[in-house]
Amino acid sequence: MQTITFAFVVSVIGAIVTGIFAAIVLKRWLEKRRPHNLAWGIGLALYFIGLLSQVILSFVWSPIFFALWYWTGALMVAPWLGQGTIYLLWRKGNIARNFQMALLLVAVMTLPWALFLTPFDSSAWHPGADMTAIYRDIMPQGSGTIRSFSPVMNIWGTIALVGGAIYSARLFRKKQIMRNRMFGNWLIAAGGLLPALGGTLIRLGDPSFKYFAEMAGAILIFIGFLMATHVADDAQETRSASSSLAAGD
Amino acid sequence: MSGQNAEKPDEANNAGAQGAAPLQKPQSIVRRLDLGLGILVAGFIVLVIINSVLSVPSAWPFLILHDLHYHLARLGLALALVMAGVAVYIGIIRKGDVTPLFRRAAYIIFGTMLLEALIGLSMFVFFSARPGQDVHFIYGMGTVLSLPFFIFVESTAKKRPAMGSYIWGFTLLAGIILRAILTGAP
Repeated sequence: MQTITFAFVVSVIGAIVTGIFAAIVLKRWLEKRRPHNLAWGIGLALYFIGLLSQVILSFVWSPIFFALWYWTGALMVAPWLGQGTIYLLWRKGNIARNFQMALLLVAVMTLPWALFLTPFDSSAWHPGADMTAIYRDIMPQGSGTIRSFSPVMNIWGTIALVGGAIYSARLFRKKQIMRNRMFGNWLIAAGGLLPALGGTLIRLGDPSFKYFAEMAGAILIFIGFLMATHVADDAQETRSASSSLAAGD
Repeated sequence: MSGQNAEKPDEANNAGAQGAAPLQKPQSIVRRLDLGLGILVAGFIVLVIINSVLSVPSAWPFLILHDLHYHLARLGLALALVMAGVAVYIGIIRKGDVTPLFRRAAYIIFGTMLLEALIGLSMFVFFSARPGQDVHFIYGMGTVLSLPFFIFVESTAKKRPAMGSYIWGFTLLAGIILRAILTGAP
């Protein structure tokens, strides 16, 4: 069983965790109709699709799943998760909604680009292949290709998700309120940083860490989310914290 | 409901400009300016067709479509940049809200972009013409979709003023048209 590798195992665990997490967040959105829950739900569902595609690509080559793997992992997951944080923290005017529309526009444009207009060279693929190691050989590179969107989207998403979580954690710490939320936000920040760190290590030549980082990032964000939302129904506290966040003090 | 919300600031602006005066006069000016912008776009299209007919003795439909597609893209880029500048002036410098004229101008530019995309699509479908790069189709789709997304945000916005949506929309539209022009040439 050449395909049962470390990368395969952590991809399966990560897919299960993100699938459950996405279902919980989307259920919460259905109940409360808050836009940040929808953005996070979409981001987590895309995280799940990306990890599922990674599992499938361990067994069989499929240009559709490769396109989905790249589109979700390199372009969409980080900005959609960051968009949820933007909704929570940037309440002035319609800035968050405009960000969401820009993100939606990029998503609608890049999905058919990845699926139908990007040529893939599958000769580098083999069963159990480390996708993070071979994707550069499979996809064309250079300016004007879909890969040129990746740095912008990841920087945008990581700054929003990690920066927003750190900002919130520091705020709760400063105000000495809701310790659960403070710890939860630290975990979300760490979970958001891990995949980005994995991406950095790929560039430094150690691709295997990427898979572990993806799984650990999803688990940390999940635990952080559960901790942060544990006191969410405490209406009075939530309202005071929300108004503080909105005021930006 | 959303439409009513969207119209409120316009009424407020008009009322503010005229005090307690009735709204007929500003609305008639707006209609004339609307009509003017519509005539400008239509006249531009007619001029391009006349130019194609005169420059090529036996003007085939394809050449007319090609010239229209070429020139409407440049017109769209210029209009998007002008509208982005106007949106920055009204929204950021004057801290004002979206006016009826501005919103209708946005609809006319959306219509122009839709016509541009349909011309391009008909060139592909009926004459098997292909752009320089296939990704031109994606940017073409982007030029049609970019404005409606931001028009939706503005027209359903509960927080006013909401001119920021058009600053985003027209800036993105200009960038996408530019990429579409660069990828369209063979």
